[in-house]
Amino acid sequence: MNAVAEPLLHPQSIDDVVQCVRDHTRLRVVGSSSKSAMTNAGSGASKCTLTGLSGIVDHDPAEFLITALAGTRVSEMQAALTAHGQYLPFDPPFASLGATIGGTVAAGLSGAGRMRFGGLRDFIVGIKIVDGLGNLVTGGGRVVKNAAGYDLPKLMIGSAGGLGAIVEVTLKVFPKPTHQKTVCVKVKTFASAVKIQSQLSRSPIDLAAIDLTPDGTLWLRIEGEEAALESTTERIRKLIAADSEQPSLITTADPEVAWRPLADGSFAATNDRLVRAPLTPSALLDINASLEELCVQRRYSVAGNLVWIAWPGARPIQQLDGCLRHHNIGATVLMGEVPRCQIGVRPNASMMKRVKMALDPDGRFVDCL
Amino acid sequence: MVDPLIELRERFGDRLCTSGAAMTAFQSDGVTALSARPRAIVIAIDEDDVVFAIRWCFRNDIPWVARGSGTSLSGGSVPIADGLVIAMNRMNRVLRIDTDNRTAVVEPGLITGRLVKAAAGVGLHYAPDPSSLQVCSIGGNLAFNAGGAHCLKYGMTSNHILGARVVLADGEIVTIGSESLEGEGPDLMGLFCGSEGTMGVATQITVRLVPPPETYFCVLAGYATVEEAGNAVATIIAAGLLPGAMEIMDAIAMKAAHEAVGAEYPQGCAAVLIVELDGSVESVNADKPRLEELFRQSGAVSVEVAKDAETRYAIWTGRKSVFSAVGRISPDFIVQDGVVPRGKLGFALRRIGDISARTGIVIANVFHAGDGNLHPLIMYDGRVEGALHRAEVVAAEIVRMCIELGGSITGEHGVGLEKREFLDEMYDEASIDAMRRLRESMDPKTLANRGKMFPTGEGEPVGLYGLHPLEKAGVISRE
Repeated sequence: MNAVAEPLLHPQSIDDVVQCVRDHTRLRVVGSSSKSAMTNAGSGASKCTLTGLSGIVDHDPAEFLITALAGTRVSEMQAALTAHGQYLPFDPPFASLGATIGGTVAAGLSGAGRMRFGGLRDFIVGIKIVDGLGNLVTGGGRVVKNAAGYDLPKLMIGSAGGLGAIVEVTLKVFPKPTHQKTVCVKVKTFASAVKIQSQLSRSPIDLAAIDLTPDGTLWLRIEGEEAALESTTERIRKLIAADSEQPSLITTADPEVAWRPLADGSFAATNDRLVRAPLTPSALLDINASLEELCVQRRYSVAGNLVWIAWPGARPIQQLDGCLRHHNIGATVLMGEVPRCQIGVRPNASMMKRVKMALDPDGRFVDCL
Repeated sequence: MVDPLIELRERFGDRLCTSGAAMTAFQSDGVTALSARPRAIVIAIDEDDVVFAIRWCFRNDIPWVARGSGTSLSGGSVPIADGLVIAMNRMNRVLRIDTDNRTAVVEPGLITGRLVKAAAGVGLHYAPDPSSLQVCSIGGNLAFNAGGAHCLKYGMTSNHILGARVVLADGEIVTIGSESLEGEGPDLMGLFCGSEGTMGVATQITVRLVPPPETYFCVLAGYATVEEAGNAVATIIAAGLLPGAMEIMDAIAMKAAHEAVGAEYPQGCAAVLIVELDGSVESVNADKPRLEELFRQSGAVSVEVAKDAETRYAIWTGRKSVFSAVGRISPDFIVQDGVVPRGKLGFALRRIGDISARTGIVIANVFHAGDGNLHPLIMYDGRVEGALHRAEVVAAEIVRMCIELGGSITGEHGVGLEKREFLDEMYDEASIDAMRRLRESMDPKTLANRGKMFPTGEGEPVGLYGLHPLEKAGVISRE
């Protein structure tokens, strides 16, 4: 793309964003560009960077709600919440890379820790966007429960900048667990690990995260009061001892080793494309077999509801695209160089078109999908 | 001109109803003060029926409403006068339960309580628990984003719907969402949930199931004033506990529940607060002592722990009986479900008390306190001239108070017919305009549940402000 010819816009206020939208016929809205694949502007589009639209607008700790401008860094919100013993239970990734809350919503990202209480869609309660007509539109509110009007906050999740410029987000937050511990379970075969994963996810044992690597290692995060961590570990041990065909080795793991690769994207090497694909746990074994054939690095998260793939920069992305299509899966490339971020199956095309026509009838917003 | 009904009759045969007693059953819903007479009712037994009916409506410009159990508490399933009602309650099968994926695929007419039972049969749990669980349908829950007592920790219906097959108002069938907990692209399923039937109708619904809580710790605490009970909720939340449910009942609600189902409450309390911790044994045990300490700090005059499943069940039976129980002490009532920030609960309850004292209208309070979701039951006698109107004025004042306090006009019942005049007090013109454009993109002729949710400009206003000309003309009525 001809980056030089594209105007760069840096609005500092919501009013500025409104003006940008009204003044430009094609806009690509980005945050801090922490997800490199998603921030390339389309041809002829003006790049509108929202990092100047930053700051926590409201955080009343007693209400367990936080409202921030879209360009606010997730890390800043986390710090403010931690000071009051609170956290974002959907565990947004890439905070250490400077990810903004607006970008997190636009990319629709939750982290491994979304296992216990739910993902971004379960915690977003309010949103402000500037739509394609240049109007400031509010959806949801600043209360934890709300059934008034259409759920625009949810609609913006994963909208990738194509439906409007997200300018403000309100999230529900929870009390932060006082302690956490990571347990690593090495299972002899991948298939047995998948079986144990399924049993764990159906058991009443409270697990904050259940990830699985292709070597048959389960990574489990336990959170809560200190006393509860030990007894929970013991229950995991019992469940595995009772149900696995082969003995497994259970050890305490360094949380940095366990969770950092996904939390900061270091799971993918510099030139890799980092790909995120939702899947169903029952499809996991089949997909894993295909990915194994492709010799690609991968990691399963949220008890088999998500796979992260590091696709080498040197290999054509079409190969992965074909594999995902074969399994009827859609995916987004978050990092690395690609012509389009969306690969695999594109779901809901007809309804997507309708929503686009409604919120951005003139096609001002260029999404990265 | 050929009567378009002939076409419907050919397809639906005796599943088409245009007169007689059956029509009466469909004229109203949970808001009995509102009713309208439809042109016809068709009973759908499969998706093809639904598609046929919707395309017929589209061709003939006839507004329609899809209806499950008809238990809406916002008038959301009241027919459109002279429109079509598509009855969904025979499409009520559990199609599949997938334990590996922890999902169930069901038809929209399925009674929510049956879904809960079916999930329990395989050791899983469907978390949303609207109080009308035993009669309401999952399709209606989806359309109005139903809530319940356990939203604080588990979220509302929309947090538990993963995907659906939907027939849009112009007859196109779309599949939205997926069977995964994670999604791709804009969350269209999230948009469709709670759209109050104004975009289309779901014919197949994928819900997420969770492991059932291993244990419960349910406590009923008595307080000298409602305000103190409200403040206790804010204290417990602020202390960082995350109970599964927190419910308040005031003296009138307690009296009603006592008379209806024999529920027992501590003497001399103006309010009780029910708090239930749930989850794994470890987490519940860790939180128990903290909760007990908070009860002491918040000035509870009595604290009663449910010692066994039976006592817990009795506490919940009392709580969930209140709506019908109030029916025994007042011929009619309006229930509002506005939300206020939890820190303002005590204040809001005092204001409701003041309104009641000023107007002489009895108001019972029983509500999802943990979410700040009020449920004032505003009592009146519909046989008394002007009584409904006076009750509506009080209801309007309470709804406006919720907006003023930074809350919402509805927490879980939806806007429906009953609160549509308030939507534009909560959202500005540009926001409502964007919602209208979304609606029209799915329903270009505004046929799907016409007249619901949106403030004005479509459908017949059956507002909260006295008789409408159509009412006077006898076209629509409140009974």
